[in-house]
Amino acid sequence: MNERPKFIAGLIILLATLALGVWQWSETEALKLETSALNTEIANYSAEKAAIQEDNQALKVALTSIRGTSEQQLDSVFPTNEDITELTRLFDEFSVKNNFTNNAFFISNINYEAAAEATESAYRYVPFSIQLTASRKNLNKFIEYIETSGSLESGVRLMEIEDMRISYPSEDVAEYTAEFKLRAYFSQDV
Amino acid sequence: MAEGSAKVPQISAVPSIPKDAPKKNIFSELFSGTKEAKPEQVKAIGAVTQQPSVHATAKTPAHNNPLSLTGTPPKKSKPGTLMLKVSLLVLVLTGGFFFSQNSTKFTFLGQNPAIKNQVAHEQEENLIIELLVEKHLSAVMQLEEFANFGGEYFYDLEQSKSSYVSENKKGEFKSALVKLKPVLNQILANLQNILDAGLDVEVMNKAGEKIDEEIAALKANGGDEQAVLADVQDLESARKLLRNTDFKNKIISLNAEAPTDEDYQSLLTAYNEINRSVTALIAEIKSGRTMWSEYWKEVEAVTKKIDPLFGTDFTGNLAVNSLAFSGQDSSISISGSTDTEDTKNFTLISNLLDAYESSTYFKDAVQRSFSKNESTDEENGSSSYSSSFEIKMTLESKQ
Repeated sequence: MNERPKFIAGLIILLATLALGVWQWSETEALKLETSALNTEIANYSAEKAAIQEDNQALKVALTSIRGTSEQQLDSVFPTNEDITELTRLFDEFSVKNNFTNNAFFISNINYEAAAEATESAYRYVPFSIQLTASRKNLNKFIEYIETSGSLESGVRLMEIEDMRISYPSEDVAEYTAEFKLRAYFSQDV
Repeated sequence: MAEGSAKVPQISAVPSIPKDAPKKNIFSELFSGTKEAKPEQVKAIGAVTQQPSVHATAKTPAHNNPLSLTGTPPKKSKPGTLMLKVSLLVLVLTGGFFFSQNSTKFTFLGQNPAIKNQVAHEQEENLIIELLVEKHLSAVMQLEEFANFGGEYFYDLEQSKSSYVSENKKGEFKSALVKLKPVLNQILANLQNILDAGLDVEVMNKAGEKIDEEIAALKANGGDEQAVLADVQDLESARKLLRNTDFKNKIISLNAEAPTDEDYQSLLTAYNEINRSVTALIAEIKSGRTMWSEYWKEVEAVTKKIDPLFGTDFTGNLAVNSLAFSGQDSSISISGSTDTEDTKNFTLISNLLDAYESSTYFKDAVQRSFSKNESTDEENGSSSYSSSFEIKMTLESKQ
């Protein structure tokens, strides 16, 4: 092969190498720039993560205290067994607190049935009935007592009114008479 | 002209080669090792190349003659070949150098910029996932706080509105409400800052895997059982929250600057649906209860519209004897009586039926049979008419 074509070929290769070098050099610089930017992002994310982890530790401490208190309250609101005796005491206490001469409240009858399990076994309940006579004010108060039961703050056992029958006062009976069919809830069998 | 000057030989175009001479070329002659020059060839070379000098005769020693047939021929310069070789070498070196810098496959001599870039990308991705997990864990704990304070808030709200709580106590409950509201608002604002409902599936899957790793690590490390159980439950709740885009959108869409009680309640209800803790279960049961007291109030309010004297100390035209509320079929039965002097007892009962039907609390109010009695007061000769009613209706809206 003659020297002249070789020279030209060599020159072309050299120029191509220069172009390749320039291109690859820019790629290298771009990689370095991107890496630098990523490292800055990584530093920011790391700082953010550390801050959140610190906050989470403080939250955990606060929650541990709340959860501890809640466990005790839960035991009265949603016990692990039907605890009929405690329930009965609850109604007697309500009666004593609210029964006055001109504002009567008197529970004449409480009947407990066998405990039942809810669907999906998430919880259980004991069905029971109560018969009472009361003034209008105390009757409303009793209904409100049942309907707001189950708060951890109140510590009153979680209950629900399924049915209720109310008889208005008449010439013979001065007070309201009521019959309630109720449920008292408790936790599933563990 | 010098004496010894030789005659310039006649230059012929092509030296003639004797016919019988063996076929040889100039190179074989040059490199054959023959020391004795052939006069004809010397003359021919001399004729082509240069003017032979005075001393350029057969008598001149061969090694002094640059044109001697026994010496190394001078090298010809080849710039083209050199350029090609150099350029190929530069190409290889350049290619090799940048391969070592820009390729992730070149792992010798430590981390090159390409590998450093790849490592930085992986680190960033991992950190983003870890940050996402921490944020959702934080959200889970803040939601539990919200549920706890929210429960307290609504209890205080109920007590502050109760007819059976003393005014002093009501004042205390109202003060507690005022203190709780900014706490709830702050938690809501925090949740809106850290939650992102726009995560794609791949990111959620990777975050889920990260949570699995953390749970496995917690269980492997052991320690206080209650603490480990609480941490594991929190992580599992975080995983549920991660995938619950609807719930996150609900939180993000609330007005954190001035949320209403309905906003708080809807958030609590939605949270209790995803959180399977005991408190969530209690909240679920509570929210499923029927508030019969509200229906009783509505029955009396509607009855009062038909007979304004109802529920007062004065005897009106309408009297309710008993009410029966049934949760089994969501129905209410009202039995009572009407007493008129104009015989329009049936009209009164019909008006009552229509009034119950038009209430948003009830529907399908019905009574199928009507009967009336007349009684006469013999003393003053006036008559009165009485009719009993037994109305049955179903609940329209849940209270």
